[in-house]
Amino acid sequence: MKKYVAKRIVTIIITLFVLSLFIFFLTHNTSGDPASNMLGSDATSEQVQALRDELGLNDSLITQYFRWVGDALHGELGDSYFRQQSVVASIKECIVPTLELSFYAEMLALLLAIPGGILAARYKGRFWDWSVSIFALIGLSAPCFIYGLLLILYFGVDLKALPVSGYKTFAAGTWNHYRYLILPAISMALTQAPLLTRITRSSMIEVMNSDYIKTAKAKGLSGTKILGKHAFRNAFNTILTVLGQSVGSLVAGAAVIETLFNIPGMGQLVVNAVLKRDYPLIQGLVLVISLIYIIINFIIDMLYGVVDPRIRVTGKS
Amino acid sequence: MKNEEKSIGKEAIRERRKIKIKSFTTNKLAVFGLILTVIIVFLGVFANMICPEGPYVMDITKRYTAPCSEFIFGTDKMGRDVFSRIVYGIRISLIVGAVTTIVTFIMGMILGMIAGYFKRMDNIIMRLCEAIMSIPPVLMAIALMSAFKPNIQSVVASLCIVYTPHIARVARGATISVKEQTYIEAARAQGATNFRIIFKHIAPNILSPVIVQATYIFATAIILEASLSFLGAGIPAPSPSLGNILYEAKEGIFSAKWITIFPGIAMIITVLGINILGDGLRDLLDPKSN
Repeated sequence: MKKYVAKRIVTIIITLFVLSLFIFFLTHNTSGDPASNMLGSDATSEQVQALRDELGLNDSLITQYFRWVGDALHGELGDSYFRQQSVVASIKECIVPTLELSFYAEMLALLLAIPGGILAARYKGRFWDWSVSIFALIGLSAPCFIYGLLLILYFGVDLKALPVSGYKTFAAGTWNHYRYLILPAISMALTQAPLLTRITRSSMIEVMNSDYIKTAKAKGLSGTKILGKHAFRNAFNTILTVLGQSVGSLVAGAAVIETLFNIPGMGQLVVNAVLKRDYPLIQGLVLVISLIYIIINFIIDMLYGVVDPRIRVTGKS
Repeated sequence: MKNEEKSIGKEAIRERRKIKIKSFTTNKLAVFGLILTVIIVFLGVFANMICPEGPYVMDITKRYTAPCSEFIFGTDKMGRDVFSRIVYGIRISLIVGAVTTIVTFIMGMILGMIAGYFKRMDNIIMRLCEAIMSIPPVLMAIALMSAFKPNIQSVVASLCIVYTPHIARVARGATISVKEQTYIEAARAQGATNFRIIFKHIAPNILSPVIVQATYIFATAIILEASLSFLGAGIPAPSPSLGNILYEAKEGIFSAKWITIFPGIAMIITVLGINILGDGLRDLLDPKSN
């Protein structure tokens, strides 16, 4: 197990190194000079030169890259061009709504997917299987903002029951907090759930066909006990892998939903940074979100060992 | 004698193919997907015959007209016919999806085969692919769009960069397992060059798993393009795309529902058809399901 963890950490470090190179060169000096963008069109060339010196844009690319990485390792990601604050401060301000939204969406998705998947596997090829599969297929077939728009139309415009724009912290009351996040969370969950449902269904079916389930049946265990205690525990491993990917895509998918529902989170921050070409902010955000994604997947890899003792021993999945 | 054997082999293959096609046509859902896709492709291909006026004709006096006999899906804030914008939007979505799938398929195959065949290149190519895949797709695509000019070519290029690693990974895995087969050794013993081995012997034998992966790309590329355009970072106005029609529809959502509902449903139907057809194709090609 120790060897396995060490190996994973080495791969993560290499991935991060390549990732940092990629992010740096992708967003570097790609469209115009940030110094003249910041100063506006009526700045003199001396002023632009002075600012370029100040920002360190006149050094070689390699020097600039190592300075960026060095600062990043110290938790410094530079200053945003347009927001009057540092990148780290902007991210700190925006990370909470995104994490809350992603958490609620993932919980809702699991609440839909796991019972749905088990139901479909239990009644394979019959009515429940068909209806669950068709819902999953429809959910899979549109970007989450379409469900967001349709929910806004129904709950916001027709019923006027829920707010369709904005965000409230817990300080404004628990119910108020949930009222603002419920529609965005549902629209994200609707596109997350299908994949989880399909994986739950197929891994449950696979496990149900295995010998030890037949043994359990022969032993005379009840259907629910087999499903819950034997089958689901063994199917959970596969579900966990997809869960990791889905959490990562949630944080990114939040970009669309936060923009639609006007929630001041990281996703909206990314979109605004891209539209304004705020490169330090884009670099910082892509790095932080990818890091979250990598860490979540690392934790999930480690969880395999907890869920499945076989992996703990052999160190292989 | 030899010829006879060959023809028997071919016949067997033809027979197997017939069985597969039959199992596809008995799969009602797959046929339904095929019909949906044919309708959608028909709309896209013959867009200029179905809507001869095109998607740009404006009539400010008729802005926000509710669906009626003249405009079956109503008009938008500039008085443009929503139906023709949807039809042309479908055309753009299909073009983006198809070009992305073809380009990622070719690039992914080449990169994957090189990585799988030459050990030395493996580390370089796969680490780069892993780095790209560690950035969530939506984020990666908008970050790329910030570096490119806002036009349809850039959108396709961004999507290709996002999805090529997914194909390359599958192609690499398949290449590694095929490479050890005896027929590759035989080819090498006969003095075939690496180039010939890769394109003549490995490529045809890894097609199935790679095509299975590529069927996913078509639908997800359409969805990602719509998301990008919806954020204002994709296909620029006034060109219609299902994403940017919905982006503009947001303004009038409280008064003109039809601009949201119809393009939304069109989007769901388009991707649904492709997804169902893809599922059917996967059952057909997936070596595991045989």
